[in-house]
Amino acid sequence: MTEARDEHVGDDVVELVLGSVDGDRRARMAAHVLGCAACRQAYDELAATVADLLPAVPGAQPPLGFDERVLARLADDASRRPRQARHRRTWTLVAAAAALVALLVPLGIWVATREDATTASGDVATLRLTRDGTAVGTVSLGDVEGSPVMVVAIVGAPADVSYYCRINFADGSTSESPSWPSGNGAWIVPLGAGVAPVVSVDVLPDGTEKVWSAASFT
Amino acid sequence: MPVPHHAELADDALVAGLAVEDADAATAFVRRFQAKVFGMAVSVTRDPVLADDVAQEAFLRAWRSASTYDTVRGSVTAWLLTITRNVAIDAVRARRSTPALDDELDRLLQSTLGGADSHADVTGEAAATRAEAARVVARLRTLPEAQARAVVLAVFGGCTAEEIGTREGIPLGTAKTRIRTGLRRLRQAEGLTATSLAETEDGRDRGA
Repeated sequence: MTEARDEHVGDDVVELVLGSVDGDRRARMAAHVLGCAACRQAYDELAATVADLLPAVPGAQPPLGFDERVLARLADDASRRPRQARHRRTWTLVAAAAALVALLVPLGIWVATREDATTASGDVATLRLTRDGTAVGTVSLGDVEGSPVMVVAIVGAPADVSYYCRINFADGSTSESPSWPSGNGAWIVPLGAGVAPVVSVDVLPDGTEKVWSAASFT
Repeated sequence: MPVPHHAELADDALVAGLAVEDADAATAFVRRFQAKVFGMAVSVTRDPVLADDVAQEAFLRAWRSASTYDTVRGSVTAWLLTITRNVAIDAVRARRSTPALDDELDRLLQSTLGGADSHADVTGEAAATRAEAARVVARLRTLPEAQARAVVLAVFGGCTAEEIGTREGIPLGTAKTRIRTGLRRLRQAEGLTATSLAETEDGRDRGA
């Protein structure tokens, strides 16, 4: 599928699967694995092996009242989010593609992979400022010739700030992109086949841990 | 036909209940898996207070993503504990300190590799959960002891190769090889196809 932009991760895929690497190295490796079919296969197979081992972890009695506290959090979570929004997984493809193209064309887009990815279609979520909820762009999930991609389009960024994004997957894992050029634009991130669904995406100023804006698909 | 009580439903049926936000299914799900989830959180964080937060967050993420659970990709226990392990690793990293290499790891090794009765029902786990754990332990015990210890410390304890090297008194490279080779052998035992990872290891594993 997508050509690799960096070196193959090789044996270091073990460290990536086990969560032993962080920071820039983790981001670089994850970005490569997302876009390289061979490394993605090695990652998926090893991740499945590790997952299959986990049921043997020794159980431990949680503190008294743990289950009640968890159930209270679940009930609170359910009450905060409207049911329709929680289960809305698919959007109208044509509308999404049209909206994306309309957004991208005037911006003079910087695209990391294929130009025809602007015809991608799929789920779309609004990117909103953490500070006050102002809409500053979109995150779209779609595919290019069968390969899943995520497109982050930003229209409300200060011209002198560059960003990176953190992708939160449904299996609890996260992946960080390399930093992007400053200002507005759109960025295409290959997701790789078989990747867990994207739950949310955070956009953060380069070199910080402070979420500037976020989009949620749940 | 009698309708089974939630506590008697299969694991994947409970997850299906979570996906439609069935409160009874959620209660049965949390009570069935809380010991495993908390155990996973404690194994990685080695801090009961942090483990409490991690375990709660793991259940919340499972609740939110239940509709994406795919039975083809593994058991409910494996799915839920993968979420828990990821949350725990991130929590330890966010705290920016390495968990103490202490008695918890000894207990972890003893529980998984120590004795035949180590998976006795001390936490109220369901019989199916205990049986799944026993099968994995049996596979782990087919590995050379040094590799099995490295795999347990890395997978269940969340230890890096460097931490394992320090604890086991071996060079970093040897620790990495033990983890890698142990996981490769387990994968081959599962009947999975060899990958480039396995191919690159063949010339380096001797002496690990």
